[in-house]
Amino acid sequence: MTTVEHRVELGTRTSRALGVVSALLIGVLVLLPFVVERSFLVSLTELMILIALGQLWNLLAGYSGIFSFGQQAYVGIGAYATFALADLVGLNIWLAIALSGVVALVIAYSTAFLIFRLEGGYFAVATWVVAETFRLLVKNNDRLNPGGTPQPLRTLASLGPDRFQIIYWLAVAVGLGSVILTLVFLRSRWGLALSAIRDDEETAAASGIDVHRVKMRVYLLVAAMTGLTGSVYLLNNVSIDPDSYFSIGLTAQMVVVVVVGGLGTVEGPIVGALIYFLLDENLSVLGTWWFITLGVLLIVLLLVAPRGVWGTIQARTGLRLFPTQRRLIVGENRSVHDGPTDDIRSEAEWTRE
Amino acid sequence: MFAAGLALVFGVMKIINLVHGDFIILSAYLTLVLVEMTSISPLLLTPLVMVLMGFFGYLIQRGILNFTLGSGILIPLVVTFAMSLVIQNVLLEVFTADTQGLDAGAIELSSVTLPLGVTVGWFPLLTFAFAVVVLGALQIVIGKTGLGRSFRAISDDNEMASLMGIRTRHVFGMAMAIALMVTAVGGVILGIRTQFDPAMGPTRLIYAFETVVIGGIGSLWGTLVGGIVLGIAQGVGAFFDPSWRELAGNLVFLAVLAWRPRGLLARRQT
Repeated sequence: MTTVEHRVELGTRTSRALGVVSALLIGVLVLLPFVVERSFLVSLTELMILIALGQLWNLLAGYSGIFSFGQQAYVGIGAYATFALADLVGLNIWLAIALSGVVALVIAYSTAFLIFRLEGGYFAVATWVVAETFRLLVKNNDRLNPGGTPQPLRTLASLGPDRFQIIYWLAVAVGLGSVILTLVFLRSRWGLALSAIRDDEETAAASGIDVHRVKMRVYLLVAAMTGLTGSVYLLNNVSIDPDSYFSIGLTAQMVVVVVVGGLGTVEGPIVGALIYFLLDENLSVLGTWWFITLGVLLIVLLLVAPRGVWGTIQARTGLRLFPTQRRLIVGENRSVHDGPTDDIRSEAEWTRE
Repeated sequence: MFAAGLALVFGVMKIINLVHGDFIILSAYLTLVLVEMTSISPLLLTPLVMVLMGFFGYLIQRGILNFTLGSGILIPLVVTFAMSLVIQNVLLEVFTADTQGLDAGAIELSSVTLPLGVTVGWFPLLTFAFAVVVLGALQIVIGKTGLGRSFRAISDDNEMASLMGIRTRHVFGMAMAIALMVTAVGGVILGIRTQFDPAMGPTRLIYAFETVVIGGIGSLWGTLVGGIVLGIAQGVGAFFDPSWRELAGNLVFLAVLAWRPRGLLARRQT
C-alpha cells in the first residue's frame, strides 16, 4: 500500500481573508455607540439578540439534531433570574446578569433527563410543555408576577445614564459570543462527534461516541447562553411578564431566522436574522396580514429552497465564510473533496479514515 | 372527568403536526358558519363538517405536506408551524378575536341519573360515546380495510411499501383526510362545550400531544386512557384553583414521562 501525501484542512482562502475583515467588523461594532444615534443603537441591539437566539437554536437543530420548541423557557428563565436576583434579592445587577446563565444551566440540567427520553417530534413538543409549565409556574407566583401586570426592572437605573451603550455592548457580546461559541465548539472534537450524531446516531454510537453525553453537553451549553441572552433581552425591553417572555413566539423567531438563513450553517442565522429584522421593521405595521405573509413566505421558501437563503448560496458556489468542515487535500494543492455539495457526512468519514 | 372526551379525539393522530390544534379551531369556525347559513343544530351538521375537513386535509397533504416528506423532521415541523400561523391569523382577520360558541340546544344542559345515583350530563356522555365510536371506527379502518393495510405497510417500511405498488402520496393524503375528519368531530364538540377564539389552537395541540404521550405513543386505546387521565388531572387542578388547571395537566404529563416514559398503555417492545 502506498501512502499518498495528504493533509486535512479546515480553512478556505475566503475564510482566512475574512478573519481580517471580521476583526475589523468587530472593532466597528464595538465603537459604533460613539457615532450613531440612540434609536439606531436600540435597533441594532434587537438584531444582535435575534442573531444570538437564532445561532443558538441552530447549534441545537442544525448541528446536533436536537429539535427543541421550548427554548423560550431559557429566555424566560434568564430574564426572570435577572429580575428576581437584582430587584427582589437586591444583588448587584452585573452579578444578576452573570448568574442568569447559571440559573438557566441548572434548570436545564434538572429537566433534561425527562425530555431526553423522547425522540424527534415528541421531544420537540415535550420541550414546549416544559416551557409552558415554567410560564404557568411564574404566572401563578405572586412574588414574580404580582398582580399579573408587567413588572419594570427597577435596578436597570443602576447602570447609569449610558445604559443604552452598555446594553448594546452586552447584546454584541451575546451575538458575537454565540457565533464564536458555535465555531469553537464545531471545530473541536465535540463538533466532529456532533456531526456524526446528527447524520447517523447509531453509527456514531457504534464508533465509540457517547451520544447521550455529547447531546446533553450541547443542550446545557445552549441553555446557559440562551439564559444570558434572555437577560440582555430583558435589559433592552425594561419590563417583564410571563406571557411574552415564555412565548412560543420567541422560539418561532429562532426557527424562522435559522430556516430562512440556512440550517446547519454558521452564516445562515446571521443572514436570516438580517432578513427577518428588516421585514419585521417594515411590515409589522400590517398586523395580522404580516403574520399571514410571513407564514406563506416561509412555506414557499421551504418548498422551493429547503436549505434556506445562505444554504442555497453555499450549495451553488461552495462559498464558506466560517468553515467548520475538514477537507482532505491529497498530493499538491488539489482538493479531492471540495465540491459544491454540502455533505458533512462524507467529510466526517474522510476524517475517520 | 369528561373534559377528557375532547382531548382524546385529537390525540389519535400520531404524526407530529403543529397545525393540528388550529385545524380543531378551524372546524369549530366552519361549523359556526354552516350553522348560521342553515340554522340546523351543530350536532346534525357534524357529518358535513367531517366531509369538508376531510377534503381540506387531502388537499393540504397532497398540495403542500407531501413535498416536505423525506427531508428529515424539521421541514414538516416548520411548514406545519407556518400553516398554523396562517390559519390563526386568517381566522383572526375574518372572525375577529371575539370568542364564539356553538348552540346545540337543550341537550347541552340536560342530564341523566344513572343507577348508583350519579348524575351525568347528557352531553359529556355523548362526547364519551363519540370518542369510543370514533376510536372503534378508526380501529376497524386501520385493522380491516385495504387502506388500513396500506397505512400499516407504510408505517413499517415506506420504501418497501411503494415498491410493492402502494401509491404512498395518495395514502398519505387519505391518512390526513381521515385525521381531519376525526378532528372535525373534536371541533364541533369543542365548539358546543366551550367558547373558542382564533388563538386557542396551540393550547389544544398541547392537550392532544399530552394525551398521546400519557396514553402511550402508537396505542389507539391508550389515547382514551390518556385523555381520561389528563381530564382528571385538569379537573382536580381546577378544583383547587382555576389557574392551576393547565399546570396540573402539564405536571401529570411530566410525572408520567418520568415514571413510564413509553406511556401507560405502550406496546411491548421486542
